[in-house]
Amino acid sequence: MRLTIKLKLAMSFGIVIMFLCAIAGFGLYDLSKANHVLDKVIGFNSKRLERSQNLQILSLEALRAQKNLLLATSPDDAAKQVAAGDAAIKEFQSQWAELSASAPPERKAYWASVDEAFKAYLANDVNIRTKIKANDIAGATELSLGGARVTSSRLRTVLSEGSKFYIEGMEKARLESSEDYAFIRMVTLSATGAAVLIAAALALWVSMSVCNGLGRAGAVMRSVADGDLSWRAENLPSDEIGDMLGYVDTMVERLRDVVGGAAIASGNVSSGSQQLSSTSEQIAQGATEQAAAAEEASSAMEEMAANIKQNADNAAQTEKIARQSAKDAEASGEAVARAVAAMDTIAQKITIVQEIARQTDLLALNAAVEAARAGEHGKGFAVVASEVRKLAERSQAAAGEISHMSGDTVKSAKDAGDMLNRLVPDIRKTAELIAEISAACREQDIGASQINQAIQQLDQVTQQNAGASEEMSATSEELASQAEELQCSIAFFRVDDEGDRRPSAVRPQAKRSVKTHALPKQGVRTQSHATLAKKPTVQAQQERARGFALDLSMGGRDEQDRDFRESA
Amino acid sequence: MSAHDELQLVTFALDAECFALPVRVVREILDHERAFRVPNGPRHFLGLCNVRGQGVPVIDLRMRLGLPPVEPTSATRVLVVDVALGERALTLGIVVDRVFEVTAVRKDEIEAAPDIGARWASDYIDGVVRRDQSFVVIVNLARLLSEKEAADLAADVAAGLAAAPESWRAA
Repeated sequence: MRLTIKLKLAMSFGIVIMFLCAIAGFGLYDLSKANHVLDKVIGFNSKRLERSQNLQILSLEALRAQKNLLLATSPDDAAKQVAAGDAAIKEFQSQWAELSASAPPERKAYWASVDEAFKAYLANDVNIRTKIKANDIAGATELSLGGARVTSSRLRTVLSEGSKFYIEGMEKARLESSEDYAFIRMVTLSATGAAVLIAAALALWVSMSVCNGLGRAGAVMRSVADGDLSWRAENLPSDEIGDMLGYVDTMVERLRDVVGGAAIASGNVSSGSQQLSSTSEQIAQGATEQAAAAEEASSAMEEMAANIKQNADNAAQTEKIARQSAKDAEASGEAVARAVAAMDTIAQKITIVQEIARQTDLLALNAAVEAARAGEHGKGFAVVASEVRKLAERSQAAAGEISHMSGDTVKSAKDAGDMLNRLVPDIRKTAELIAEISAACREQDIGASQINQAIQQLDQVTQQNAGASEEMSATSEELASQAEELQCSIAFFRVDDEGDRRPSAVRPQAKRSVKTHALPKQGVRTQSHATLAKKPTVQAQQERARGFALDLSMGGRDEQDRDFRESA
Repeated sequence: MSAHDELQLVTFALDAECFALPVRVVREILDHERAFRVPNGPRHFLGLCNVRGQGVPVIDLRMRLGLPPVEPTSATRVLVVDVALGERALTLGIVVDRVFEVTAVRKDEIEAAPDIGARWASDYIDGVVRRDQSFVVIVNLARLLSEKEAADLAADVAAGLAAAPESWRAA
């Protein structure tokens, strides 16, 4: 059975309440008993004592009325005294009747004796009154002092005896109640003492168990507060505090996990931030190189833009030249056509010459034949014929040559004309193409300026990147230091008994690794600074970013332009 | 040098070879004209030609000498020759590739027809004259045109004349 604190407290308080109830019940019982006694004393004895004494007073009033009657001087006074005496007697009788009726049976005899004594007194009183009525005052006085006195004292004795009885009864009740009180006190005191002892024992037990558990929990809490997470739950009590210690154990275990995880994570963050730092420095360097490259590209673009402009000018000039050439070529074509026509005419004329020469030749030949046939007589003629023939042959040959040459010339001229005819559209096409090239050059110029603008933007972005990477580097270093701080903070927690050494072993290692990371990084930084001293540094870059802008118009003319002019 | 020991020759070319005819047989040298073709004649008989109002039969010497025929050029000539066949005198037009000149050779320069050691139809060669680096073959038309052939030609001429246009006959 699980003895929980609730159960313990319930048990303890139950036992104490039981005791309390017993004591209260006993006290109530005794109080009711005392009350009963008191009722008896007050409601019976004291009341009856009072009434009994009242009877005495009434008897005395009746006696006084009797005496006053004796002393009465007037009949009115006498009558008044008689009336008072009667009233007292009557009252006495009624009181007696009540008391006698309510008296317990053993006291009936007493009340009968009272009645007897009163009756005796009353007989004397009647006698006295009779005597007084009869004006026998002396006899009445005598009787009153004699027999009547005996009866009245007898009545008084009886009545005081009754009072005495009641006083004695009261005394007896007092004695009884004081005995009861002593008993009750004894019982109550002993019961209270026992209850106190048991309650104290129970309270001690409960508080001991609670304090023990709370003390353990407190110790655990304090050790956790001191950063010791090595506590493990053992021999847990099976109550709420045990549960709490179990939860605390779970909490400590979670804390161990969390702390271990946080330590690893902070280590990772530290190394990661180192890497981030070096990477961002590389990025910064890269951005610097990029900026330099962008600058180079920009200047190259400027040169290119100048070249493009030169190209555009050249192309425009070339276009003009090409148009002129086309016109000239057309004129040449026409000239060639005219030449061809002339040559054709020449050829026609030459054929006539040729024909004439041929026919001359034939005629000369026939003449030679005729001369030969004429024999000796024809010899001179034969010579002439021969000469004519030679001339004819020469003129034929010349005409043939001329014809041949003119044919060749015509052919060449026709070829030239054809070529020119072909050339003209070609040149026109060339002019158009050059116009297109010119337009393309203009577009290229625009494009080059746009590219230059883009490069400028790129340069700005690169500067920003360089700045951002510098910031990133700083941030990552900050991160590294914060991770180190975190590691130091986490090192406050001891996770295990062996962990006493382990985290400390890890920590210096981590620190060492940080240092070893940091040292080459410093070296890298100095090195990079050294290299950056030659190259434009990031700072210089940023300064330049503030005051540097690519100027597209600064290209201007340079020595390289001359080549283009020459080529044009 | 006298006229007796010289021979006046009209030299002409057939293909690349040079031939010659004695001037006395050559009546005239004419430009080549397309001959009026006479049907059913031998292959080398080109037809009839109008020479100063006279119908003259024209033969292709190339074909006659077994050379392949060629298209006439501007140098192609027709030699109008008078051939004595027995007692008849025949006027013929001979188509040659070209006519060089009228030249005189000494008779002692004339060599005989080449002897190849066997009989061949070399009767039409009167002789061979060496000129420069080449030879000139002197053709004997009378022998070239055999008796029978000449007769055939005469018949052909008669037939051709019959078929010839009216203007020719009138001439």
